[in-house]
Amino acid sequence: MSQRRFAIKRDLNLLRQRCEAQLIMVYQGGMFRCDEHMICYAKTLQSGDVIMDTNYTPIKISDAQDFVQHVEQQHRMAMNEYAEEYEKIVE
Amino acid sequence: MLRSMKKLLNDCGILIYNFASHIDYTTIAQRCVAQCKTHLPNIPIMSVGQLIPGADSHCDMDNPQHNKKVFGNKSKTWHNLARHHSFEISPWYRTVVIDSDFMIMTDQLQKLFASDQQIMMHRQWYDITNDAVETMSVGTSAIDMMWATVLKFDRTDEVQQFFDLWKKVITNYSYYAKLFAFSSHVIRNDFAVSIALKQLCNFGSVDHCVIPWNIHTTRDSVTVKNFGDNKITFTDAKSNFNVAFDCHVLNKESLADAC
Repeated sequence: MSQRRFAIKRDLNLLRQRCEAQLIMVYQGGMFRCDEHMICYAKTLQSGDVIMDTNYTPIKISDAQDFVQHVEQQHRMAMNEYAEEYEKIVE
Repeated sequence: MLRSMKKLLNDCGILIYNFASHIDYTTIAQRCVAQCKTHLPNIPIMSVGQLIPGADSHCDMDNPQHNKKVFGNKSKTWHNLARHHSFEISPWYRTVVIDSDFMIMTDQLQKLFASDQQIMMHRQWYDITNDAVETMSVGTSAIDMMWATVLKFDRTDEVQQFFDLWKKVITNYSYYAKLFAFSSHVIRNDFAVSIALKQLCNFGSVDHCVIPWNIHTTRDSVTVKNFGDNKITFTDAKSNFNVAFDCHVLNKESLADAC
């Protein structure tokens, strides 16, 4: 029983690591972590604003609406996969 | 679109080195190439050293400067000292150099090709066995070790400078080993690139060169049990487990057997 619990914990940790990597998106040459904070932040941006990517490089967002769409899409894709794989592990 | 056309349009590719040693590196590298083709089908691959079946192009190179590494409990010859020539060898503007024991299981590396950052490497590693994300240091110095396992670079003057520095560190390795108090017995590319990058940045921050996800790594004590296109099954003292993400496998003997 404890071995099973250990295996589940390890699988979940591996899944979380993979999911965190999948949250990274490249947009206009910059890398962005599309987590919940970025979703909120992205929605405050206006076209032409400059933001920092994960490597502290300034990136000009020429189309704020398009950026929001990409951030949300990446976040949703990673979360859906996380939920799907999570179910497989714990069932 | 034809594969050759894609190459011309992208101007990017993957370099994989392959030199014979007591381990069957060609088998490992062949599997590495196959994984790249499965998950990164539009990216051309060049083998360097000995030909890797399946690679799109090849650059011949004699065995480089000899190095020693302990495998199991025996010190054996290891040919890992050619990667600092990648800048001259690569025919592309944007290149990712990967170790042949870095097994691609996803299209995650595509993000490196899309990034405009000139040099990128991993700094944090995810130790799967101990479920810990760690950063190592270069000897006793405050310099964080960057992993040379995956190295993305663009063809720019600054990057050329980085490669020149890398060569100098390899040439004067024993000096740096004394300076930063690490062993000079085995020449580690990880230490050499970390020092070179720090020098390039005038010993300032290298945060802008860090790949923003952790390199998944399994230790020597973890053996490869099975190999699929999308996952590797490992076994250790505790249990079997699957890794469905790009993974750096340190137990090369078991990797060669599983390939």
